[in-house]
Amino acid sequence: MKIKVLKDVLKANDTIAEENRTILRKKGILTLNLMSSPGAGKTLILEKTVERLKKDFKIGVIEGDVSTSNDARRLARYDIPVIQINTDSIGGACHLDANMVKEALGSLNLSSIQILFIENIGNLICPAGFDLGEDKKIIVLSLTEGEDKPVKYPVAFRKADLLLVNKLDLLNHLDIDLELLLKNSRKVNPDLKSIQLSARTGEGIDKWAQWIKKNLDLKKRRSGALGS
Amino acid sequence: MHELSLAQGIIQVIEEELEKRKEKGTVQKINLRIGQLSCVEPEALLFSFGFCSKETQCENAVLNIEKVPLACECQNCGKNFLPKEAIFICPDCKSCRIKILSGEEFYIDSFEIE
Repeated sequence: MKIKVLKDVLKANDTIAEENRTILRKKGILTLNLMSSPGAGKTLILEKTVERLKKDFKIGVIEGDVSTSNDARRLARYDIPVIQINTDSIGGACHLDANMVKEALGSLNLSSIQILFIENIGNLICPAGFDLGEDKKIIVLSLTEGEDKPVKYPVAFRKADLLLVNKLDLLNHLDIDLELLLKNSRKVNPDLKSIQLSARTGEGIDKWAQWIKKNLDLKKRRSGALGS
Repeated sequence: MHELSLAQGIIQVIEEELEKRKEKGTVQKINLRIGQLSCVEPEALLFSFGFCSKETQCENAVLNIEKVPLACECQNCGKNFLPKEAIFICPDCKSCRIKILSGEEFYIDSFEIE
């Protein structure tokens, strides 16, 4: 006997992601999902961002790694709520999924958060396939990775809302063509905006902080409009 | 590799369907439709499914995978095309503003029980 199902296996994730989005919308929390390959500098960018925004905004972080709580410890120094998700206890998953984020949301006091950063697992492939309930997907690409990454890993770049080009302080020490890198990213995603920065020196962090503030304002206005 | 969680997802969906229908039979075959762009590696999926399905009604099931090609529509001129490369450029007007019509799915189409 043949039984028709016609069910999307990834649908289960999308359903939970929508639940997360609803919870976060009600609280007016801007949620940003940071994706990159390992070592692109997500954690240092977050440290510098928290330093910059901490006195004006209440920030929370969900840290995803296969193993260790090193990154969570780095961020907890800023005295903000940080939840570490390690996927080695759940099969070493290569990405965060909506259910892991849902559980993490359960352990955060959402009333005291305005901006929530989700640092995804370092991987340019799988995280792009899983909606977590975030407002924006941010892709971090460091100059040392080469200008062809957007065309080599197009799926992640296609889904991103913003590209952060990190390690700008190395620009003059590398044979990298920054213009070509940006051109490649627009080949995959014509609307992709980019901000160039160096988490190490702090250059460009202001511009990124402005982008976050603008999006938080937009979110607040939208949540307000929905509430009235 | 997230084929492991996808294999668990397949088994979960089928168990729910069996439960709904009060079906006690064993699943012989599962027909999947996997998009070219879904980043799913069939070999890894078969491997993961092999050990996830142990002691379930899917234990002896064969996975029949139909690959769904990537199809795009140009948002500038409206042309439908099947891209040959991972970068989508309209063959007619050369625009990069492209909508993906199919190729991202990961569907269980149907399954067969005995």
